[in-house]
Amino acid sequence: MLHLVNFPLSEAEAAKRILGRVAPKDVLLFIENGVCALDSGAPGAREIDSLAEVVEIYALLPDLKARGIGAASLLQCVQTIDYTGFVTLAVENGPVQSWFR
Amino acid sequence: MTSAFLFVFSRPPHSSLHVQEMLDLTLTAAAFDQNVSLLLIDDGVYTLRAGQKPESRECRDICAIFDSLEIYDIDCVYVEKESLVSRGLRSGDLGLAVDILPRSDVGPLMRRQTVIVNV
Amino acid sequence: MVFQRVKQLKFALQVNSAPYSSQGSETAYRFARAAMQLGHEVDRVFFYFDGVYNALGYSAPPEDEKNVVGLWTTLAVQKNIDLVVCVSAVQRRGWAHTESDNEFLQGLIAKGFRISGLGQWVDAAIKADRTLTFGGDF
Repeated sequence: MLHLVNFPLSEAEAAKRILGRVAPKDVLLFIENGVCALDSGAPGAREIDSLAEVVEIYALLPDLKARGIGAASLLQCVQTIDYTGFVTLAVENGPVQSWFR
Repeated sequence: MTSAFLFVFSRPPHSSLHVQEMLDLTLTAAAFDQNVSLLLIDDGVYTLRAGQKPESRECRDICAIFDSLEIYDIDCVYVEKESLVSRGLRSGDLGLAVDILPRSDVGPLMRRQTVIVNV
Repeated sequence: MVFQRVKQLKFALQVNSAPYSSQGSETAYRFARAAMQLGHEVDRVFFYFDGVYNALGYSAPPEDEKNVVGLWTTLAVQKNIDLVVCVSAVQRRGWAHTESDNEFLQGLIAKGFRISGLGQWVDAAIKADRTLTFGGDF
């Protein structure tokens, strides 16, 4: 299944809370303000990095660019995609759950 | 056609109409004879806290609405254990008998659905 | 030569946030456009919660800003997708009363949108291969 995250996971326990409900082989896509969680210095970055061993992690490139997060600071485990890639992830990984705030 | 719908309540109740509008959506899906479940996580667990006095701010009795879900053939109301524990709550503090499940079972529950709604 | 069969799916989308107060509506729009470009179907977009504000036809941002309502109208006109605004949600928020207001409120309801009931969302979600919700921040 596909999990969408649209907020930065910066408050205490947020990463643990959301990522704890993601199971191995699920796919995680960060969109909108959620891409801020993928900055290497972000509060939840370590949890995201360790989850990457069992879960594919993607970020929506236009949202990264809009927020000034470039390749230099993006977590290495993250693959970037455009809206076409977003659609393809949704096609290949149902159902889709939105973790929004 | 029957699909599995899961409605996820993750925000605190009151203050806005989102619980009411989520329930409207839930009951409409049930009226279409779909397989409907509800899941309460994070601050959504406050939705079913016992002892709410809806008359104190002229709102609907949420526990009573949840209680009536059985009439619509909705039997599955799940509450995540970790969300309760981290708020100092136990299942006995809720105004309704629910199924308590651990966080590690939330993903598998979601994977069995066709449609998941979380706002 | 081997022809690869491309999987074509039917999508139903739900938009739950007002334009400009969160990015959800715009993300849904871009997703819908990309899905159709790839040959998938987006039969219906259902606007619920504060998402009903996406259908206010008098929305008129300055010319150098994006017009989210206008994007949806253009998509509906060009691609013939059904944009449905929930009647009970607009009743609560006070800008329409019944489904028959569709005829009387021309201008208030942006072109391409129509007011109808929650059953329209359930119907679309049952028929769709994938249902996605967009929104947040309310």
